[in-house]
Amino acid sequence: MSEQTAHLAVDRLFEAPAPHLTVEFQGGEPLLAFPMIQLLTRLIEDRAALEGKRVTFTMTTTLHHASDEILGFLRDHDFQVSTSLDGPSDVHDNNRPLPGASSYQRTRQAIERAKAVLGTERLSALTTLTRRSLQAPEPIIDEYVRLGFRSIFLRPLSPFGFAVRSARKLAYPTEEYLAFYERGLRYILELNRSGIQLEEAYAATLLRSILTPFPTTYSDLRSPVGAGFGTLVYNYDGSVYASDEGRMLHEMGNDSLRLGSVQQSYRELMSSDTMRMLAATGLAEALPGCSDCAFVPFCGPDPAGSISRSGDPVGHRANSEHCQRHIGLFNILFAHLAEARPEVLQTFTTWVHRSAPLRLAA
Amino acid sequence: MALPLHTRCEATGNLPSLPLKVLSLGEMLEGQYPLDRTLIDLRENADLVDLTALASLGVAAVLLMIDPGNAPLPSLYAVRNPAVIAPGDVIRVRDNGQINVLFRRAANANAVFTTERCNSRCLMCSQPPREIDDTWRVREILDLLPLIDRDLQFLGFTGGEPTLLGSGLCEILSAASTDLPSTRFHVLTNGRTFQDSDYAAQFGNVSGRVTWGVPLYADVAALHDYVVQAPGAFAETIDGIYNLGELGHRIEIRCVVHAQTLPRLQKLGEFIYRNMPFVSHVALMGLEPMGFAKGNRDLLWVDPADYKEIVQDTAERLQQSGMNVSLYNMPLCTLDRWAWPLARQSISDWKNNYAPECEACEVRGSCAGFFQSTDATWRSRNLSPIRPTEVAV
Repeated sequence: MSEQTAHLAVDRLFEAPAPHLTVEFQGGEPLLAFPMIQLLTRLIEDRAALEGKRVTFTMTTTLHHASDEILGFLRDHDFQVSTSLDGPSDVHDNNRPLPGASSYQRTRQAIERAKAVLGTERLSALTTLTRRSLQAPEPIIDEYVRLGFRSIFLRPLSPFGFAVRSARKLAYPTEEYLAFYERGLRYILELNRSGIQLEEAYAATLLRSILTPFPTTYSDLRSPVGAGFGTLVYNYDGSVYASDEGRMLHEMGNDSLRLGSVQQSYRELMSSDTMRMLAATGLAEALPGCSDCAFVPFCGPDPAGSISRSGDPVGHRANSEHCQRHIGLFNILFAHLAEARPEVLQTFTTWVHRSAPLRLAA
Repeated sequence: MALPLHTRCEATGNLPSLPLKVLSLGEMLEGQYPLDRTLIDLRENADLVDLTALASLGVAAVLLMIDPGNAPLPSLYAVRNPAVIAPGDVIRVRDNGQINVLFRRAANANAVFTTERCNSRCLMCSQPPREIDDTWRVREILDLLPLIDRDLQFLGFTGGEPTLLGSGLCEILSAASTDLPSTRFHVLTNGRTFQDSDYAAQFGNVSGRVTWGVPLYADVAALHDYVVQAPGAFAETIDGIYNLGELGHRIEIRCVVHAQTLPRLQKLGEFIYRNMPFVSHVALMGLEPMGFAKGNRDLLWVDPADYKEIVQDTAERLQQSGMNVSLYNMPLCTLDRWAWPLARQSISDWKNNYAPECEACEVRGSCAGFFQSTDATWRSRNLSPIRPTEVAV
């Protein structure tokens, strides 16, 4: 990203009406452009102070390039750092081959260094589940517990970008993912029952929609759609996309989710044809197949997925991976809620409210 | 404890019919209050003071032990229960010699009684309303407010239903926020009048200073309306809560726990969290056996031992959801230990009492105890002193 683009992106960022902004740096590997991160952080902090807005910084990084100086910077500017950890060494190394080295070992070392500087609260990890991972959830979950993480996100492979080209080798049908998820969730609930506190982030997100009066902040399940209305992506080349998927679609030669460029005003970007298209198709409650779905109060539309699959943003629920996956997840969670085992409900409420019940806390 | 708010006295001279601030000689000289509104307490030092000098200063009246005979200014004496009045208090003296304490400096809580009228007839009302015209109270309260201690932290307004004073309540609260610039106010209201958003909007200038304590007895209209004996009340109260909430007011939801409200209490808790998570406090309250509550005992009585589980579960869920919850009027020995942090000493000291069993109790000092009206027939069978060994953790 050029300095000029950075300045323009910050201008656009602060034209948004939200009083609290979350700025996520992602790549590629954002730490390969650390000087740019420093510049943007400074520009954004100065501007936030001037305009009286609150900003939270987050970053998704392998941490492999995180020196102590970099980690100190992330700590000083209160970054929430998310790294990739796919499971124990055989799973992780299989997903992320490094010529002549073990990426698992490097990740482990990086996590230890990061924990020492950032503390455990600011550091979380994300799993990428490949076909290989689906063989067994338990070793992956155990690895997270072993490394002291309090949360694991059992999300399936994104159908975009690099993953699409390797689909044949890595991808799997939704039913296989759901079977894996159900088994994994059961195992995590058992762990919690035995006193090991580990949150499954997907369940926590969906349960927060089900069990609280508040709308989800999870972009993929917002209705009206999170893309564009809740998130904007400023690309290194100055393009502005409605979401991360928009950037990935662009890599695949499809510009449907491109709003324009950072040189245009926020107002212009938000009234682009792309935003009009998202506004017209981004309300789950009004989509065929969603409007009469029992789960629609907790779900959201998936225009990016529909565009990539069927070329139009409405799509067809019958062949929507997003729909199959979430119906499956809701079925699993509602089965637990209906079964109403007290210890499971207690774990769920603890995840949802991020606080223990009084009688246990005492 | 339990010092009454009324007593009688003898009086000579022409007492002003306005509320009077009782002051020691020393505090009078500090000059914080208008002299023509002060009653100087000379019960312990009458012989040191020249009453003629006080009269010429313009002091309203003096309080003495015995009849001064031919005093140069109005005098009160022979107070039947002398402890009822102390310097700092504000009192009203009626022509017949009755004294009402309107503000007590030493009290753990002070409430201003705004009206006897009410548009509900709650089954358990401890202060049964009367349909009389008592709008004269507005004037009296406006006269009272400048005499209240400036450093008072907290002042309640109760009734009856204060909003039946219409714009009079607005006037009172505006004056209160000017006269008592650092005091937080609490108004007990059924919220029904606030269904009129124009009325709610009149209170914009006191938003943030006032917490509105609004009772809600059920998650369904029919049951709430039955408890408050007023058809349509539920819908009006809910509208009122939203109107106040929209204007940024602080709202507290109150529910008295009894045989009518208990069966749906958990559902009410969920209803509050789902529909009004913006309220700043939820109080679940034990019964005060006064007024209508006494006559309706058959409809209301549940031993706290039998409602403990439901009350605690409701409170715990609300608390875990991030809501502020309190248990009012519930003795600690009727609750599980883990729920003690939610229990408050919620009873005003002038009507607060303890049972004989409480003498031996280790946690009496942090327990709500009982209302004076809570006689043995209204106390839990689980009442028992907490022993020192049980307190050690």
